[in-house]
Amino acid sequence: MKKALILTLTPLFFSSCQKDYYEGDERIIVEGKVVYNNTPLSNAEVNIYPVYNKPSNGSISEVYYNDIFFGDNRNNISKSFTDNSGNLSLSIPRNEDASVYVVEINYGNNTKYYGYVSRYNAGKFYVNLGTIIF
Amino acid sequence: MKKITLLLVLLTTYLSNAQEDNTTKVDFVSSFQFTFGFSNLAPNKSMMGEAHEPAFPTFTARLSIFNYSRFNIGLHTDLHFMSVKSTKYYGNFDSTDAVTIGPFVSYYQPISENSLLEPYISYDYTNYYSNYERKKLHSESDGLGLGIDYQHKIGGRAYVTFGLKYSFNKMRTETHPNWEKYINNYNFMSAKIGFTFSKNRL
Repeated sequence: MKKALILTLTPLFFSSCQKDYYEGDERIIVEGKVVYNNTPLSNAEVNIYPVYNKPSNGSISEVYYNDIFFGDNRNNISKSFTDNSGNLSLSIPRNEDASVYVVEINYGNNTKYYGYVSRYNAGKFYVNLGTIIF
Repeated sequence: MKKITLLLVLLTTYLSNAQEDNTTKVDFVSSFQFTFGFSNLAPNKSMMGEAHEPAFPTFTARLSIFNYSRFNIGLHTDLHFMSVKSTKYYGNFDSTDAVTIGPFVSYYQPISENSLLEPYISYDYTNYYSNYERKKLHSESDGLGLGIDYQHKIGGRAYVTFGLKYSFNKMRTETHPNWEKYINNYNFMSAKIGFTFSKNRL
């Protein structure tokens, strides 16, 4: 009984202790602009998450929540808000496990995801998401 | 913590009881200083500076290992704690601990019977550890520190010490060239108060 209990609890213990580790030796700059009804969307919350998706190119478009592999920890690495012109600007330190990131934009009760920031479009540590129509 | 306390006690005891010999030009382990204060004061426009609150408390320790005349060469260490106030470019973290170590060179100049000034220059290698919930971020920087201490003798070989230091740091971060200056250049001032134990000075 004891053995069964230990075998059951050990993976739970390790999963509950899992951490997201980042190194500051690299930083990707992410910029873009968010518009809604052809006007800049100010004060929209922008979060960036490391994910385990495998994009095949560097294009950025809306992705759906159910298609995103967040892994065990759904922790945002970057958090900011769009300015009065709808511009967003953040940086991402290097995640030790994941090299792909998704951008989450929240405004009011709406949440949308845009992806992916990856080696295909962040080769020079800079990604411009372009104009995002929310 | 016990080991650190024991080391501090041993060093201060040694320096308090060492034989005084004002004619000695060359000396070893002639001075030890520990202070506390503020750091990350008046930072430049940079990712690190804009992301963090002023650091308090900051603990520093400095040991002169080799001393010739009024020149000292030794090691210094610094530990400071900062809250994250802006997550925009730094990342979504709550706090940062910074640990600095490196060598220094100083020269002391008596300015009265009981007081002296000690300007110094130091190399500062710093590790930064940021945390929030399950996230951890580690970063490094190389720095050049320029500082000056005012020391007033309060008896025996003990001096009360006030100091200011300005640090020029370069983060070890690779990023887009247009952003390198903002991400990597991190300068700030520190202010400290504490005690120095020295022999053969005043």
